[in-house]
Amino acid sequence: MKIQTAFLFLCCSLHITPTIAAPDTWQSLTPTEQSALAPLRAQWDNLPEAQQKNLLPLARHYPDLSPEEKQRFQNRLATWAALTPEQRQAARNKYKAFNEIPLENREQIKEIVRKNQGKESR
Amino acid sequence: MKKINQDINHKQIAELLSYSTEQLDETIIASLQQARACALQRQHKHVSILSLNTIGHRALNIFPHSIQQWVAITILIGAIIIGITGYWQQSHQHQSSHLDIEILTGDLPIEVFLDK
Amino acid sequence: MTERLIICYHPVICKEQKLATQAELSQFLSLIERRAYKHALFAMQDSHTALDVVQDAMIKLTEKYGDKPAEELPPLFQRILQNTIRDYFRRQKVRNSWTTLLSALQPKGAEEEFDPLDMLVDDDNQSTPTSPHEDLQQKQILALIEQALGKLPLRQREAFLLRYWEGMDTAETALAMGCTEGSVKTHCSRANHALAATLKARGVNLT
Repeated sequence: MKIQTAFLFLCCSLHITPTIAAPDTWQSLTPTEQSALAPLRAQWDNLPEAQQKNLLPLARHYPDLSPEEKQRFQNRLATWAALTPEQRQAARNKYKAFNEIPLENREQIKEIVRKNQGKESR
Repeated sequence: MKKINQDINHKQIAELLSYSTEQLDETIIASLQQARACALQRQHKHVSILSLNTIGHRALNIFPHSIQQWVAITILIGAIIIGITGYWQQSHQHQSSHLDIEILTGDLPIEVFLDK
Repeated sequence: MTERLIICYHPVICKEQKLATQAELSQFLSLIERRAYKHALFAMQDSHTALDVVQDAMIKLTEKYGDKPAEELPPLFQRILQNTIRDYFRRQKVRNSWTTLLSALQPKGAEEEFDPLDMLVDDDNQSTPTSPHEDLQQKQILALIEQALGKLPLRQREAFLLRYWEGMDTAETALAMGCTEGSVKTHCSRANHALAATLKARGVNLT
């Protein structure tokens, strides 16, 4: 009885863990995923599996974004995908740290970055 | 180089530093006392938990005896561990993809978050 | 069986080792808390964070090692304190990297309006001294020494303070810092040189 219960539990918990899927080819992606990941079309099939697994959830969020956010997403995706996992993790940490500083200072940083960009494009 | 080294009077520096601990603000001293009281409370709880634990040891005698029971327990624990890791991985993945989206769509350029 | 169970309810009989009593632990903490605070303050440069560090270290000591004999407490606490300082320091560094970025991006002309370093200055030693001349001078020298200490790299300051303020020998310092005696010596000698140079430049003569 006890063994049966335990086995049932094991099956349940295995179900929770993400299944280890074979790498996805570009063809196997849904149209939504394809449109979100369009900048990576050429290289998608050659991306490491872990990388693909990282990017797919992002593609699923894509339809919820505003047009402006979609534009940014598309512009930045190639740069993002070209980073190593460590670099991406470092960027996440930096982003988190950024959100921990006072709002006022965040605004100041944004303002400065905006000005600098303005200068460069001029 | 040796000569510079001798110029430093460690004893005097130590004395000055010890003197500085007597010059602390009242508020700091009060906060330190509070911190101490808080830490001591934790010790109290810990000791009582310890003696409860010893009772727990005896209670373990009721636990598995037969091989079947052991197998069942092992599977159960294994399942729990796998379940927890799976859940943890998933929530970790979820959290980082959430961050990734914010970085990729936020109003700061991505380069700001990269180490140049 | 029942009898043994009953005996075990009695905490005193259950303890085999002579543990630090709460009074001993309390006395120990009250003796070291101010010094611990200064250690933390030199590294964090902020009184609130320094207090958090001390409280964290104290809790770790009482929770994890509250059952240790009293004579083992000082080296244990020193190790916990230094580890906690390092943890906090690392976290603060990531957060402060933004402040540095801010100052780097800041256009030169506008510097006076906003100096991010303002946020890092602790307002501890700025109370106006109302003491006699000698005391005043001592306070000024102390302020210079503290400033010089604050400028040292974390590990150098750690080694310097443990060796020369806490009076630990090289082996004890190495244990508290979790490194080899060789690196304690290196850290100390670098700290000595840097401090001597800074103090000399400021015209402080400690003899």
